[in-house]
Amino acid sequence: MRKLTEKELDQVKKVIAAKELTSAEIVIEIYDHYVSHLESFESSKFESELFELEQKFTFGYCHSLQAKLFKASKNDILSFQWSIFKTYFTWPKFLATTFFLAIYIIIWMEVEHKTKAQLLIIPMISIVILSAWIYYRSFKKVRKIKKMIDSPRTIESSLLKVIMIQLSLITSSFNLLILTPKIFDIPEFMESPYFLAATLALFLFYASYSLTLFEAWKIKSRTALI
Amino acid sequence: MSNNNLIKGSLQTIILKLLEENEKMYGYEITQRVKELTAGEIKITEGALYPALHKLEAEGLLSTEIQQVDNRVRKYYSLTKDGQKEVTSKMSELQGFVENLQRILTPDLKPGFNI
Repeated sequence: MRKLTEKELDQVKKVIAAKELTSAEIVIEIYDHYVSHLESFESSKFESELFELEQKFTFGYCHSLQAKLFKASKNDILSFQWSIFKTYFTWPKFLATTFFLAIYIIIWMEVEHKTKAQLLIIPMISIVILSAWIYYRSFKKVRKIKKMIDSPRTIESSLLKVIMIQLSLITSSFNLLILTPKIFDIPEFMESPYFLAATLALFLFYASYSLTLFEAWKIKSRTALI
Repeated sequence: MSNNNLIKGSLQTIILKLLEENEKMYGYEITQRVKELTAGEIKITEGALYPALHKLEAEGLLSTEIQQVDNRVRKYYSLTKDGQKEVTSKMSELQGFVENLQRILTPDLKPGFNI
């Protein structure tokens, strides 16, 4: 076992950068595999062993690995959310959620249309702030990898990509909820009991969805690149 | 030895068993450990190893941890509680399969034969 020279390490970084990978998890795994493998050979065998590795970790293989990891990360987060959901709503948390929802309904019935619209914007703003925070945390963790592998593509965590898509789905759905009645020109839609029922159902769904997503991120962020 | 097709079906069990014996391992270490244990007879290809590790992680059987090692970042895999339970069931499943295979290959063998 030996340590690779700076020149050799640069060569490894260069071949990995040429693969144009975007997943930080895949980049670090392949880089570590390359370096660990090359360290167990004499410097005279460096070129031939690097060539051997390149035959195994082809452009196509690495990209298929990346696509599979993205799919696996999606399933990972969703199953994590589900397992959190099953245990999250203990009686105190359930009562707290019911309490906040009850207050929300009371306020909704009392306030003017303008305030109602503002009330709908609050969860969206919270999600945007949460997304920015998650993105910043992951950016800090991935910064070193980005610096190390000078890739032409943007390197980011596969898990971050999944979480960001999930969060953007929530904000998009809220937009849809607000815009749909306007598109179909439904007068006084905010007074409609159907609209109240729809917002309540969506609130319940999104509250559980974002809470479990937040919990999943909290747990994952301890050990992953998010 | 060309045994890639034979290994394919038992790769997950091999990974889980190795991680049961070692608290945490990284990808390259797993390939080397298998090579070492089988005196180079079984070689786990990178093409099969990493997708299998990612799949096991997504199934909640493995957890990962990122650590800084010698100026680079390394991804370690370890068993989750569900993974620990799964090792036992996968091992008995594989042992049962090997026993049955042995019976097919050597029909004269007594039914109580154990590997």
